[in-house]
Amino acid sequence: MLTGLLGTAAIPWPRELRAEGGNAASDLPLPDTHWNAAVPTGLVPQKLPLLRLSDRPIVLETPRPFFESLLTPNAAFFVRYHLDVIPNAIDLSAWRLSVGGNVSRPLHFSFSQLLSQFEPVSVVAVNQCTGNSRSRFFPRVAGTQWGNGGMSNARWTGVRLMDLLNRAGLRSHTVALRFQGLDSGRGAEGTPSHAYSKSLDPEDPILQDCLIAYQMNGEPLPMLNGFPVRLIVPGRFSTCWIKHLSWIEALTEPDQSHWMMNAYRLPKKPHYSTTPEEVALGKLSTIPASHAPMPVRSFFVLPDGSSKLVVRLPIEIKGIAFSGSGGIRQVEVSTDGGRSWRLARLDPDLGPYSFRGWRLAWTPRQPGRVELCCRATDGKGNVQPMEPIWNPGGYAWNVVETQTVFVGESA
Amino acid sequence: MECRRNADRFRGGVRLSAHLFRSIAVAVVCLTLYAGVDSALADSDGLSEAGVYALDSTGLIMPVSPFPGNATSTYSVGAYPLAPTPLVRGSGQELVESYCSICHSVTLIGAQPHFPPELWKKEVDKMIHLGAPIPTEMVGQIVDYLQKHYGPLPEGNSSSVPPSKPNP
Repeated sequence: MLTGLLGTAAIPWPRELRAEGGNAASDLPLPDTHWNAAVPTGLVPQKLPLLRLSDRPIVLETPRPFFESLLTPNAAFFVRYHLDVIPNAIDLSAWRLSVGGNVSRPLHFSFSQLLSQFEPVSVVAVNQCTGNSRSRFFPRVAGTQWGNGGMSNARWTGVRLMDLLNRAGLRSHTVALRFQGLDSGRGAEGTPSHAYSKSLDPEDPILQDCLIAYQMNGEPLPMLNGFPVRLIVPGRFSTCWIKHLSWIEALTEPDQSHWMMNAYRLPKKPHYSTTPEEVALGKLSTIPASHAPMPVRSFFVLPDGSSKLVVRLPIEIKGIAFSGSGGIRQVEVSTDGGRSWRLARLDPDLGPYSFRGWRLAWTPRQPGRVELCCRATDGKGNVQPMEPIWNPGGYAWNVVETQTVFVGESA
Repeated sequence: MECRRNADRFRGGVRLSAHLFRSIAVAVVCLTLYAGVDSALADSDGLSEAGVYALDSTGLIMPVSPFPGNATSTYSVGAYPLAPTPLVRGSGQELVESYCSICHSVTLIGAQPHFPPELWKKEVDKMIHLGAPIPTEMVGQIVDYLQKHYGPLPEGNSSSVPPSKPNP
């Protein structure tokens, strides 16, 4: 199953490099072209071997073959922490989920109360790191150098966030809802390296779809995916899917924390794309990544380029697609490097926030190198861009994927 | 009968492994990181243990969760494995290890692309903003080390070539 871990996915070189024949910018590190980050695997509790981007804090990427399943197995679900004081043990007799701040009735819920007092609700939703595919950016940017595996999909079951908020009664003049979990860092109290929390706008329509999940694919959450409960914000990046969620606070002042004001900001521009020059001018307007729907993406799962295809032997090209804006309307596939496109057949729909499977029968007609491209359109008509995007955080990459395959002779 | 003996041997094996596990755990206890969980224990937030890691460079301390063996309300997964990629040898290395490792493994340093020098300066400034307690007089040495060993590669090398030999 794990063949093709390092199958290459050629991506278009930035135009400057092509123009200069690839030499002029040789002092700048080039984008990584591996589908998954080219790092060794590591084993952590409750997980299969995953690609270890960092051992402390724990950051693990899901290897490509696991995306053959639309629901990512819990043991293969990617992991990303900012801070390293990650829970090793949690006592549910003492653990409570608190709803406080500017509310009429501050409340504390035990795990069993969450199970017994609220209607269970399920949603299938993609969890994707804002920086997924960061290694594609050119010029390269600092941060976790994700390949494409900083994403996973699961069926989440739990309590509606609104059910909790309605019971607590949000009071007027609430301008932000802040979420925080049990994980923390070793920095001094009051510094960003001590605590990670994120806020959502109380007027944001996505709140209606948010869950506090105690189940993931019908099982308890793995510790590293947020046991005992995690905030699910369908269609949004995982930066606001707070793990080990324990505190919900209604704020009357905007959340001015580093994690809202400095980190995870997207340029307020088409495709969230800007240039280093524009950033240097210092006038770039930005929005919090947690307030923006995830842009539409699509990926090849098979073929993965790890072995040759045989001329005139039919195969099925298979992939996944998703978007934070109304699900997937169509996926087009090119077998000639983007010159012509054919519509792929979409698999059954697991909901607008899920991976959507797609497939296309294809018979390679002649030996040689072939560039496969896939391009998705979402429910709101957004289409993946063909040209690379760039922003200083390395966020929201959604450029059309290219998969190089080699077709061999059969006689 | 044969089956029972096999089962006994199996259980014996498990005991031995558990013993081995404990011995190694004791041997590396000085390398194990503990967060201040004493206060957490006293808190009502249910956090019994957090930020516990154990060195896993040998692969002997397998990060397999301990078999729960009880039905209490505490859910534990054991220590998280540490497997840091060593830093390149050079002047300033110890400073980088001391200050950067407070919050994160040095694996993250080697995992970055070979940034232009000014970007390493920016990264160190960012970490100080995040709370890294680096004394002002040490900043220069740390930045120098990162720029020298994790900066641009010598001309003619492609970005896929490792910079130089890491510590054993």
